[in-house]
Amino acid sequence: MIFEIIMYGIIVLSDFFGRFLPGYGEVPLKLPWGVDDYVALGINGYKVLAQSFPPMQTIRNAFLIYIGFRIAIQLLKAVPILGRTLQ
Amino acid sequence: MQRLKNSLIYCAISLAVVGGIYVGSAKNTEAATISAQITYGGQSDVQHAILGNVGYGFSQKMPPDISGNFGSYTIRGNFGLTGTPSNEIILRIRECINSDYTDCTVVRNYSGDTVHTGTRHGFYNIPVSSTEDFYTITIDPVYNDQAPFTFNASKFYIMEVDVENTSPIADDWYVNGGASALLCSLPNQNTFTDCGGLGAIFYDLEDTPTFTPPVTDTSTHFISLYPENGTTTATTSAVGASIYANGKDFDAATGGRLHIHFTQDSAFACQNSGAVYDAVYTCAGSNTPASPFDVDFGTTSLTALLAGSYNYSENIIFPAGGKWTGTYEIQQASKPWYYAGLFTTYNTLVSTTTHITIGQLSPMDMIRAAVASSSAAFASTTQHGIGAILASTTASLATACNPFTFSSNFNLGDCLTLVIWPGQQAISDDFTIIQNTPPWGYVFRVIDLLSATTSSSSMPQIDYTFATDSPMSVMGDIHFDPFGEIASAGTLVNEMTSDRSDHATVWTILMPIVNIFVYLVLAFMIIHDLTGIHSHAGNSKPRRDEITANK
Repeated sequence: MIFEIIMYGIIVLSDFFGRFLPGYGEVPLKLPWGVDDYVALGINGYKVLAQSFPPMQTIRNAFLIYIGFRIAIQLLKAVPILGRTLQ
Repeated sequence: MQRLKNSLIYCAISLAVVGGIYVGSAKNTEAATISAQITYGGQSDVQHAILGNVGYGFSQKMPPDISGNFGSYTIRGNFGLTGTPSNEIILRIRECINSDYTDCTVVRNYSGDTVHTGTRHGFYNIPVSSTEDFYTITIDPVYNDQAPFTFNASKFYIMEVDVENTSPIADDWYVNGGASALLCSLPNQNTFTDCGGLGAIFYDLEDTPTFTPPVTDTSTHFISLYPENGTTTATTSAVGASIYANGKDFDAATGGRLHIHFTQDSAFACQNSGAVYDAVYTCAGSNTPASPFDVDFGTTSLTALLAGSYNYSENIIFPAGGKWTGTYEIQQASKPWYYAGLFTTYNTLVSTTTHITIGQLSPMDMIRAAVASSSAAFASTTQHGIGAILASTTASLATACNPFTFSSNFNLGDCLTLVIWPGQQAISDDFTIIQNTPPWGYVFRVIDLLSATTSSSSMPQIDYTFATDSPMSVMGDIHFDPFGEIASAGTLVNEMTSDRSDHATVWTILMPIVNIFVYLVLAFMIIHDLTGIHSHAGNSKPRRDEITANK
């Protein structure tokens, strides 16, 4: 019941503030001002690039590894003694 | 006169005696002979045995795993034949290949003995009134010129008793020496000596020629009663009886039935207290006992089989608790001529009574019984019930828990369930609303676009259609997908191969180099972060912390 009440609260707040935002009432909802098309084109472009340029998969993997590394470092810095050691 | 004669023949046929067959298994000791015997009396394969009519008899399928030697057999019956003609009883053994007792051949045809005349078993000198109704015939291998038969366990056998008349004078059944002595008339066939007949046949599967048939009760009688006399049982109980019916007691056309009449004892109608709610309810305000009722069994089956053991049982609900008396009767059905066959009357052959107490179990006992017998089913039902509520498209917390909703939607059980577990349908509806409402809807839309399930755009391609009057139209239209051509699976890239023997493509050659370069860059960046190599490392200006440390 608690979960359902929380859901009701989110719906009420969304409905109240959403009335002032573009796209309210559209089903399915699209991003406003043509952003929806731009995002879709960008994603398509990335997919074409990934298919046309095989090293893109390697670059993506390296990027994800680096992001994971940075996140891990930030988490380790949060540990008091270990964080000071790292710095 | 001829019609009267035919009627008498029909009467004789109808009153033919049916027997049981007893099969003794192979034994090692003499003492084990009787105890090892298996009763086959009353099986559905037993048919009428009609003495005096050529070609009649009955057959019995033997157990599929029968083995051992066939030593002797005994025919039980009152063969009240005197004078001529002399009938002959033949015992055949049919050996079948198939388990459904088909594809059979006669392997033995025992038709004679050394005691009586010729090849006939000749039932001379056995008077009707004699109590000597056991007639043992020993198979004599010498006389029959046949070795004792040995059953093969891999085959299937049928014992067949047939009646033949080697020199028939007429098709009548002569009893006591002449056609005028036909004694078989309804309903006086109840005693075994009134009409001759083949009562039973016993087989002994051993080499020992002597065999003593067991003394069994072949009269129509009760074997057991349900509920048993003097017992206390629940309001809903199985009633019935196990009975043995002798075919002589029943008309082949009308058969018989088991009739049970229950009456509540008025002296105890209101004295049964305790948890017997029905009894208390029935007795409230008056001492009138519950109405008696009848239960009938087996009219059809008794007609079909006539002889053998029957087990009748049916669950009934007694209308009230208390002391009850059950009158059990095995009845013979008949249709008197003056009813022109329209109505059936019943004559009671055997009767007995039982006294039982109908006492409903206490609520706690019922709960214990329910939990013990169906706890698994109860749990399964409950789980399915909760699952149905959670998956329901109509059950919701708002309606199920609202006592002011005077409709079928209010359900306290659903309410308690939904308080703990939210309904799947309600949660799904809530998520749908959130997904389509800004600002949260924008996030969900981006996720949809990333998963490309609702993409609204595609990469550009080149298409050109020549006019029909253009000379280029003979070449067809132009279609060019530049992004598809440069893709790794595209035609353009794959056609650019090396001149070496492996004909490697461009990317096959370049990918190892590119991978090494990318991962080297990655390694450099990680080392850069770990070692603190900043971009301003070459600047001569001291860092702020160094200035602070020097103060």
